[in-house]
Amino acid sequence: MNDLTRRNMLKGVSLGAGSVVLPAVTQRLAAEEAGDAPPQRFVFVLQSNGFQPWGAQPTTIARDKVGPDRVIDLPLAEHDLPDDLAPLTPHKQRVTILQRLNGKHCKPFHSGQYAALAGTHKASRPLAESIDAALAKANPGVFPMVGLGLNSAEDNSVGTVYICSASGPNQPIATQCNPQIAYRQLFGSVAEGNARKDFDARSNLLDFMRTDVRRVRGVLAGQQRDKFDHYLNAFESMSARQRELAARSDGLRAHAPQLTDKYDAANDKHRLEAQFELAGAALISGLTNVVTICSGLCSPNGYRRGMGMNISLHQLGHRTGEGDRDYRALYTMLRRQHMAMIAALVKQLESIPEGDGTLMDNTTIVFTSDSAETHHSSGVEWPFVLIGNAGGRLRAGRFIEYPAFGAAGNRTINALYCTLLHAAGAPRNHFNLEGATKEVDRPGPLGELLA
Amino acid sequence: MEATEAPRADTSFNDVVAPFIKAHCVRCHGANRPKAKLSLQKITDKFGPADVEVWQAVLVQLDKGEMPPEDEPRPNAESVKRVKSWIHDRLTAAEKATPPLQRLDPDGGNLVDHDVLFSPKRASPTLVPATPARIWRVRPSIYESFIEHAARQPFRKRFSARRALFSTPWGVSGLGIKDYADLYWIGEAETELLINNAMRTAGLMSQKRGPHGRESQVFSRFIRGSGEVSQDAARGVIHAGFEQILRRTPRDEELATYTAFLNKNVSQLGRKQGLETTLAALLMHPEAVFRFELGVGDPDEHGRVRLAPSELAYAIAYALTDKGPDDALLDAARSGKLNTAAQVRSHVERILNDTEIAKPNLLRFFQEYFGYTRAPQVFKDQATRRKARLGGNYSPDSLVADTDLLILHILENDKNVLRELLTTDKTYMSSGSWMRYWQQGKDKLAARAKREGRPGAHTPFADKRNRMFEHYNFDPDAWSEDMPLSLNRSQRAGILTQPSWLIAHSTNFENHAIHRGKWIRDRLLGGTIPDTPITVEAQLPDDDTLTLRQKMRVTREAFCWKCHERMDPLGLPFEMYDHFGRFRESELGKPVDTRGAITRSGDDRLDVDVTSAIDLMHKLADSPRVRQVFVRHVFRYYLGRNETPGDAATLIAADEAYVESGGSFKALLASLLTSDAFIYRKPMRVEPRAARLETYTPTTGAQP
Repeated sequence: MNDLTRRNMLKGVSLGAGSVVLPAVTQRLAAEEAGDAPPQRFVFVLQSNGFQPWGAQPTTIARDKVGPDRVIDLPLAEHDLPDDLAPLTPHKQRVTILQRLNGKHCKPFHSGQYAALAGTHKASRPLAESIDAALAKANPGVFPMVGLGLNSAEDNSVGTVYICSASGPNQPIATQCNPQIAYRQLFGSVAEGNARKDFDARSNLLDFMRTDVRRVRGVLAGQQRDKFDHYLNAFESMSARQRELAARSDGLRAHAPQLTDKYDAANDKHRLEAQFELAGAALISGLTNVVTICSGLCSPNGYRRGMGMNISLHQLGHRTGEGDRDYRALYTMLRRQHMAMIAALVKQLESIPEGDGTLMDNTTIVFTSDSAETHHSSGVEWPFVLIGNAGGRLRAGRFIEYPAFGAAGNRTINALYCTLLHAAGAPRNHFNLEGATKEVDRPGPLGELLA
Repeated sequence: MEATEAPRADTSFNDVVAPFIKAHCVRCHGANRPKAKLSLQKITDKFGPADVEVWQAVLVQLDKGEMPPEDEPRPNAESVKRVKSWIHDRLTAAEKATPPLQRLDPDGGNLVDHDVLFSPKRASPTLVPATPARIWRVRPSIYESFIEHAARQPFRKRFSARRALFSTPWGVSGLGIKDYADLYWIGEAETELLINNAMRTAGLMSQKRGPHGRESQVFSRFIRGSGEVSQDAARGVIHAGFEQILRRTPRDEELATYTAFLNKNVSQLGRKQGLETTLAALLMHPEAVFRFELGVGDPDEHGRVRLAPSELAYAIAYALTDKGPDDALLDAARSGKLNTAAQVRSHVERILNDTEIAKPNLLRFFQEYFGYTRAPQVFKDQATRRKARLGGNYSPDSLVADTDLLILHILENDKNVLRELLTTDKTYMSSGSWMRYWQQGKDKLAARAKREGRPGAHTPFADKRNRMFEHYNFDPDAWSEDMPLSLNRSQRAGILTQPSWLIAHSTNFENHAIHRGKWIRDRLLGGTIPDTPITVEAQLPDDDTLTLRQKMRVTREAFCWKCHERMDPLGLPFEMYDHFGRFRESELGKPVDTRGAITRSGDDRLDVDVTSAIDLMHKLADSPRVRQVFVRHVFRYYLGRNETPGDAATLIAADEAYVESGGSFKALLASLLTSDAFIYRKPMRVEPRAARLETYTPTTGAQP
């Protein structure tokens, strides 16, 4: 079954689905059969504690202290990637580096949290939709989007948290830090024996709750009923998803990752690798089109066990070195490990045929830090690395640097998010900055990035 | 929307409101390309649905004093007042079911004019207090105690194992009073956690030597059984499940549904997992995660219904404790002894006065109101501590525990509670873990301290890592176990001068005069400060040679000062402390400047200059307005919503109860928890009555 392509899988799904109403994803796969364009996938990788501009700057491109007068737009083919990004070298033609986007209005000091992906002010609860959720709405899957996270090993009890994604004001989307639970949620239906019984018990429970909870609804009206409907809808959609997962278990089995020790490791690196594996498997099996991996849960603190460093992230943020390595070397080391995992994901997605190319051709990976340019960040610049060209809708293999904050031609992270929505086929000219004065940014996407 | 009668005739639309709008609004908000896309050109006194939104927007702007903008001619204060109250009255009369988000949010609580609430002659006689019928997601502490009760297992392990058994499915986020009925719902993400918790709890309940001991053997016996499940056995476990989890007997149709569910599960998953899955459903029952406050019976002459007795029992219990009603309260509800005001009051007072009943929701109000519990989250790194020459181990948790105990002490005395909170010179010290360390090794520690010639050998400061006294500028030798201790009256006055509060309102590097000022503006003066405009680069100069007061001169720019004049002069008197809460007389080698002012408080007598934080706190504590603003916050916390003009009578009564009792918080609470606002509900409209009878009968007792 390992050589199962998406095409074979589609057959499997159709067979397995039987009497079940064609779910969204199956419909989409059928659409692909019919020659429609495949959906665009997006993966966001947030690494806590800052992404320093020097970590994104190719050594052969001079960096001006005050920033350029006009946009610098250079082909990466003629330059080496910076050390921090070296693991992406085999995929350089897919890589675009963006420098000096501005997110000062997000107040990302220590971390912008929800603001990082929404481009709003920072607040303890989400003030608006985040970009991953917006893209997920444009390309829905069985799971609208999948949020995975890496907590610090010392607080390993943290399972589900709300930290970086939201489908609207006050509507946070969960980030699952426990790879085992994430596995159960995504691939529980392929399990066998007792684990399969767990899946069935869950199916029964959801199905019962859906009808039992509905009984109470009758006594409510207006706003109170709306409030209650969130609870009811949770069971409705989880139950529907459960049925869909059950129907597709044969197809899913082909792509479910091996449940190894990594999924329960005390070692942060291994748990993060497990989350990347799950991200790849979820995309390949068509369970979702958007994954956000929040490494460090938007906290400037904690340790990274198994990643070659014993000091805390916080000490690192305060420029403490360890042994003969200064803080820069340690930052580079951590970033390279993330890049290696991204490179592995790219490779995995490249191995899956889709249309005339591969699944990676329709995937864009967005790497940045929720804490903008450093630990104590102001957000005046916010480096990004993009891997992928969204089915040719984005330019790739470029180094793009904008004029600095305050100078004419400076652009915001919100404009980048508009651009991604353009690439996803759901164009917007404002992303949560509508009504802001023109001093913050002009409307519209990043012209330099659109193909 | 139906047309409604104008409640007062002294202000008419044509004579007062229309001319006001013409003079002050339509130049910008006219027919052609109106600013903010809001046109008032054609607004009339008809209150159609679209108009309601417009009037609400107008009212918010007038409330905040943001419109007309400062560079436009000022309307006179009297006409603003009249226009505001006209809109107010019309809006309330129109009984708009959905107030704008701002008014629902705790941050918008102060938007209702203080005078509307506390001037009896302005309170509209047509408004009768009642809370809208509602469901209210239980707060995390209630859910946790519910699971603890069912699982007979602590929700949280003290020294956390790598994998916790349960996880709190939701939090309430943000600063200040947070748990409002209308702000939160339960979505998919939360439900995922509910399922995990429910499955684990059900697993514990069904164990042979289960947590419930003898009472739960009904579950383990069921599991050990074999063959077909008899009808009796099935009904037996469903009964037991309802009793143990929801604390009531199942209704007939529930018994049927749940028995069928159990049978299905058992045949598919076997007895053990089948039973557990069934119990899990009860653990996620709507009654387990929502507080139902719908009311029951026929509406009274004001269109209000009373909470069902069981709903009221739960409302009282949850207001004070994290558990459901105790047996006495539940019995009263079931036997019709919770129907008169006197009966309700006797139970409220019984629980308040019974020291055996834990009432964590009292301290929690003060924690959320004052916000000092945030101190440990304000991060102070080693470099900062070194620079400040702070010795020993820095432990903000312990400072928080000190303040907790101080508040509990004040509540225990229950006299002049607010004045004590704002001005006391008493404190606890070295609470929390320091006390434990010390008590474990008193003698050894004392001997070593003596050997090393350090002070405080008979105190927790014998442990040389413990330098908590530094935060309070306290002489270690003066410490005694007989707390509270007295601090220097010229240095400390109340919670706002406790190190925990000062640290909670500071940054890693320095004091945060703006946050402190904003806190006083919001929570003691009942004012509002707009959000920082998105274009503002809010940043103080980074210069070690300047004091905070000097750095903050940047806020004096006209554009900034508009808002900052309402915060900075209230926060700067606290420069008499450093950002670890230590009293100081000099800063950067010069005498520290502790002057400030109360301005625009809404009470002219209160608008005075102050010489220090001590002076400021005493002046605030003397003010009736400050006391009333405090009462407003207590109302919000215990009613789970913002006050509206209809609540004027309730607030005035609560304030009077507080004053007449000599400042008793219990009296204030008893007044609020027996008020019509607490007991009556305005029913939700448009509901077929048949559906109601069929599915849910609140009188038979609901909820966990």
